[in-house]
Amino acid sequence: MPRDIDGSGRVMTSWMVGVDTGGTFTDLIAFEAGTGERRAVKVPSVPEDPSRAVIDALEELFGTGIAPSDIGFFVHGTTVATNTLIEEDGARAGLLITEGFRAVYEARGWSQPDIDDLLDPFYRKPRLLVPQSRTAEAVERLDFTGAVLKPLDEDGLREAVRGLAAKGIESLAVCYLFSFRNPAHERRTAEIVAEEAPGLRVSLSSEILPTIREYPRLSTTAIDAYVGPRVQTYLLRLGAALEDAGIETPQLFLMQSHGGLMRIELGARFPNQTLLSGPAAGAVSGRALGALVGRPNVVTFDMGGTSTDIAVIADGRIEETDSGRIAGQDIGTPMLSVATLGAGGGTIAYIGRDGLMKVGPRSAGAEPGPVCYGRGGTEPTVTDANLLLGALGAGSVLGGRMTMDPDLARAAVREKVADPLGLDAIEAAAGIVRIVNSNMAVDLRLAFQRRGADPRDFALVAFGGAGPLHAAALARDVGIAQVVVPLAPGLNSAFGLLQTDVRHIYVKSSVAVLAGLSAGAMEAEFRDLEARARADVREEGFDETEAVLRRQIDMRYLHQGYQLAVDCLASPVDEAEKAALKSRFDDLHARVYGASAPDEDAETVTFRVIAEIAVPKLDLPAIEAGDGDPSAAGIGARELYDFEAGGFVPCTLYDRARLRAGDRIEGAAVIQQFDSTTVVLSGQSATVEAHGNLVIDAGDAS
Amino acid sequence: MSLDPITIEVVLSRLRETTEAMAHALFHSGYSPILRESQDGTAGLTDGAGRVVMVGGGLQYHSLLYSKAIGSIFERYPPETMREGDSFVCNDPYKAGNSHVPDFVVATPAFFEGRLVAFGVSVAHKADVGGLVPGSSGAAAREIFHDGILLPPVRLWSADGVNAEVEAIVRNNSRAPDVVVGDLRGQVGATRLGARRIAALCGAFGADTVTGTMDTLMARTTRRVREAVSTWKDGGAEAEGLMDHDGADRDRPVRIHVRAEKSGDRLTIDFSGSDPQTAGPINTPEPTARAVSMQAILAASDPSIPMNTGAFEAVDFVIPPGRMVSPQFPATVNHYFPTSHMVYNVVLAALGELNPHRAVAPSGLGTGAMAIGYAEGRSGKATVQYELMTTSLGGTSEGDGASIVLPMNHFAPGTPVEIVETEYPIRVERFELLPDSAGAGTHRGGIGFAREYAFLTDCTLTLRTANHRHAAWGLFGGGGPAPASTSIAFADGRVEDMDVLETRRMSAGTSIRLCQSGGGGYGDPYRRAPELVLADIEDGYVTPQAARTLYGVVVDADGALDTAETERLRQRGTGP
Repeated sequence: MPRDIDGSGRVMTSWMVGVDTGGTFTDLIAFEAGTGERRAVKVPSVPEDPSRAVIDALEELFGTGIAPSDIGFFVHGTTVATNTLIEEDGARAGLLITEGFRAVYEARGWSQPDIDDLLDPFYRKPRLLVPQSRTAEAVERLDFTGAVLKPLDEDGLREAVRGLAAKGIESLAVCYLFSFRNPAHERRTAEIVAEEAPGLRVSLSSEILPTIREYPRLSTTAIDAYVGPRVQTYLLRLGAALEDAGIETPQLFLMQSHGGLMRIELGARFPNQTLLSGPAAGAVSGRALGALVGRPNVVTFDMGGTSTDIAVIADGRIEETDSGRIAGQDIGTPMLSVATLGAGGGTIAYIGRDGLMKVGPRSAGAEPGPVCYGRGGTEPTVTDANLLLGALGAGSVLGGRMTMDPDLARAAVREKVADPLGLDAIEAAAGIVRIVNSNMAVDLRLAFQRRGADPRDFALVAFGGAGPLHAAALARDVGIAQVVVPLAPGLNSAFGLLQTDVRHIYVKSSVAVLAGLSAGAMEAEFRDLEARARADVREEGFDETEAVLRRQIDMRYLHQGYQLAVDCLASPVDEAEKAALKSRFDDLHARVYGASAPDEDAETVTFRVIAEIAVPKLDLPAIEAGDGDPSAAGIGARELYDFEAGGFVPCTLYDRARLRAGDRIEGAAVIQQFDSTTVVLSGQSATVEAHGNLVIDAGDAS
Repeated sequence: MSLDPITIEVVLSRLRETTEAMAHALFHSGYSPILRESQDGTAGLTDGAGRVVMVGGGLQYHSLLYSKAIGSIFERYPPETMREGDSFVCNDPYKAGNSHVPDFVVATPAFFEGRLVAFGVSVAHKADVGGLVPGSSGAAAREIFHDGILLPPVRLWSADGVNAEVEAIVRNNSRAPDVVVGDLRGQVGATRLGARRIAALCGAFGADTVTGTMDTLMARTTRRVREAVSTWKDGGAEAEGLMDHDGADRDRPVRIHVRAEKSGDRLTIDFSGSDPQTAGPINTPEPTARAVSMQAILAASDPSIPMNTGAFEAVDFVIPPGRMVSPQFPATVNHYFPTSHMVYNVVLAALGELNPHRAVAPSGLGTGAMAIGYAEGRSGKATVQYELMTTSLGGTSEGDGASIVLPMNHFAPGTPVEIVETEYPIRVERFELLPDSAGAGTHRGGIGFAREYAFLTDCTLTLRTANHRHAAWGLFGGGGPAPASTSIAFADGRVEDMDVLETRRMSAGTSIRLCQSGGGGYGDPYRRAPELVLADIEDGYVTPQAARTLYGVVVDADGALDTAETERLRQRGTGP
């Protein structure tokens, strides 16, 4: 962003600020594009009012000499919507459905999601966000084409709305059958609600998720009604607080679940889009790092204290899903496909009922934490194992905030897992790490399979407190050749807030046999969507030439129920592109599902246009270059457990802050920094690239 | 060979990954709603000898039939004749052990360095494989040949690709050939994926480590089941349930009876008291009867114990041949499901006496399926709609039963209304909750529901459900749920009840209403907190009238709790 010079000739700086709310800390990254100056702030989160921590972080930033008026661009990652679902303290919502279909929500997709649920007669379904007592039925019905079978009974509807209002509802979800084909009844319902219950927040399924399958659409709409008022209150409070703090810029954005930004004013209208705000930011940062080191295919690996998030990014695109589940609630809003598993530094190892060692998903959390912290923990954790194996060093960590005692760790490992298995403490500690790595590797491989991707084409971007500790071994296990560890692994999500674009997705369902569609008709579908995209871009105050539009078609074989997204590369669409689409789809199907049917027809399901508008991004400045020799950063040596050798090998210790660009480190090595530790295994080497990121060559993978 | 416990756990996680990947591929590449929406299929692994290692997907009772199918395939294709790239198919229940004819079994051997180390196996229901009626499973069937085409074990794929002759025979014997062949291809894809993954695993860890892990898993499972059983009190317990009839003699109920005998760590499940095999189609092949019994055993002990051959080796079964749970060729088995569900419920009931802290009220009866054949579907081609009928779970010591699930079965057995109407010329008129359908109790059963369909064209309906006459029961003073029922409403306004097993021509303008049973109640309803009963009234689960008569809870005209009257009623003793 260029510097502005006002009449006085004073240089005005324009700072970009990203603030990410996490469970424990709220992180802030500030960046000045003109000078490349950067600030980082970490303050404790305030769960009862997350906006306070945002302001605390800003106050700390202002203390470094930056004025509120210097901030020209602000992005926020929020957990308000997610926590509302997890803590079940959302709005008292009502629900309007088509008459006769109360069982749709009650059935919850009829499902018992896991094997353990199926075999357990004690299984209970997740709570309905809106109970039957606050559900009312509207007399109306559309057929599968969207034609009206039964007109909306407006008098009956008015009465139903008044009845719900009398029950004190704060918001209302509306989900009628086939409204994704024809939204007229839902829209008319919204008008009537505005008359009968003015000011009531209304969520229409035809706006929130206009796709076939009534249950996921209903559930998603109910989530919107349940979390919407809380998100709205939060954003109003945050807006006021930002104004009080003197922030003047209108360039205020929220990170969305799919990794793009939206204007903060839109957040209250699309609260579901913020459900994965934090993890999305992490993935975005991973994508940016991949681009920086020339790797468009990366998988992000964010391992913290209690859990690990994994996201696959192929060709610079973050994998998305439309069948997510948060706190047991089903959600169909397109969101980043982030696999979360119970594996972190605090994850507990124990002997399972089958007599074998298990690691997770239970965690010792922040309190009491791992045994070695000496704060009352008694069950051995992944961190305790890493300490015994030399991956972590005894003594102080986190700048002296904590000390780690290997004797405590050894005693716990011995008692709880080693003795029952007849192993010594080191064998058992190595087992803990092997098992937790294997569990994470399983999820990584499944994520690749669903994408039809080959791990050998990917780099692993490791962050979070524990990610860089396990990344080298994990990469070797899965067959990933390269690991990238960012300069500040503990602040990665905050970085991500400043590394993406404004992004909106436009879809139109259009089920037709591909061979029977004319290229002209396909072009017309795309042109319609692109016209909508351009109109919105103008309305958001951008120049439409700034928007980059991309085309995709979701395709499947006739009779299939799930589709795969295929890129449409030609504009205008012609016969050659139609043939290319089919063969791209056949190839993708064979990769993902193990078989394809090139001789069978495919059908189109959904046309999609993705509009992206570039906004200023954080540029990582180059760090000071060295001569390739890292020895100036050396801070000693110790023994590190080597899994292939089955014993300890000598390893060199380095201080991350003293490494220079171009430095090359041979494994085994441990690189320490304030809030993270990176392990380089024997036979691997790591290079510090120009911007300070560590690139580990994971070696000949299995 | 001896394996270290850490490596075993690591390889186990890889086997679970493989199974999950196979199931994902199966459900997501399937063509028919029965496979892709209802997930009526599984994909998993056996070892090289056909012993079950893992089953991916909801129908864990497929487990035993994996073994039976591999055994039959070996009879025609001994292991030394199998080649890399082969995939086999079989659907004859007396050979493959499948629950009924529409469940096709596909198996692909996994080789590592020329050694047969495992099989990728998949079982999946087909929309139509010939037989008496659209959907294949006819109420009028009296022998297995009426149930549809019977493929012996044959090679469906080789390294050169699909065996077009076999595929042509399958295609020629179906009323819905495109989706059947598409689903079959999905099964082949999933099992080949599994075989490739296992070979890769052998490459990474060594074949002996992989097969050794499979052996260990089974051995440890045997031990876990025995250890769980050893904590129960010694003794015997019996339970039985009645099915309305077998479809042939409609006036005579038939009985599933089980006796469980437990001594030390040994458990014997004895079906000697169950009725002989029937002329009509409600028999359950023995592998399925054993496997659903095993699901009840795990449910009554520890649901985290995995289902594999090891579990079966821990328990003794007494099943004389020729019973409903052990039919002999050529008995028809097409309507096995409600009988299997009854087997599950009675075994669970008997084991609840031996291990009372896991005792639960039974799930509702009246499960099964409905098949509708259309001369022209939405696409203009002949097609078959297949829908599964579910129920709700019984109350437990911890809470109310879950509503609208298929016990011991699918992850997601329902097809969305919007998918049904988009794909078939039918309209779903209602999908609603039935007040007072659940068994009353301190913890009531899950709520029953109704689904109503209007036919938009002439078609053939086959209803294969159960227990309109005999409902499930309550436990420890809880009440039984309302029984299931089905009625037809004709265009002229006449309404009549349908039998549980019927095939009828339906005219456009006719509609049917399926009322599905709720779950059984657990404990005395008079001990249910009045606030919970009031909430049930407000949610429409219980009517004010039933609140008074069944729960002894009284609400006033404004819907508020009448505490004094409630106390007075409840002082009279226990619930009815």
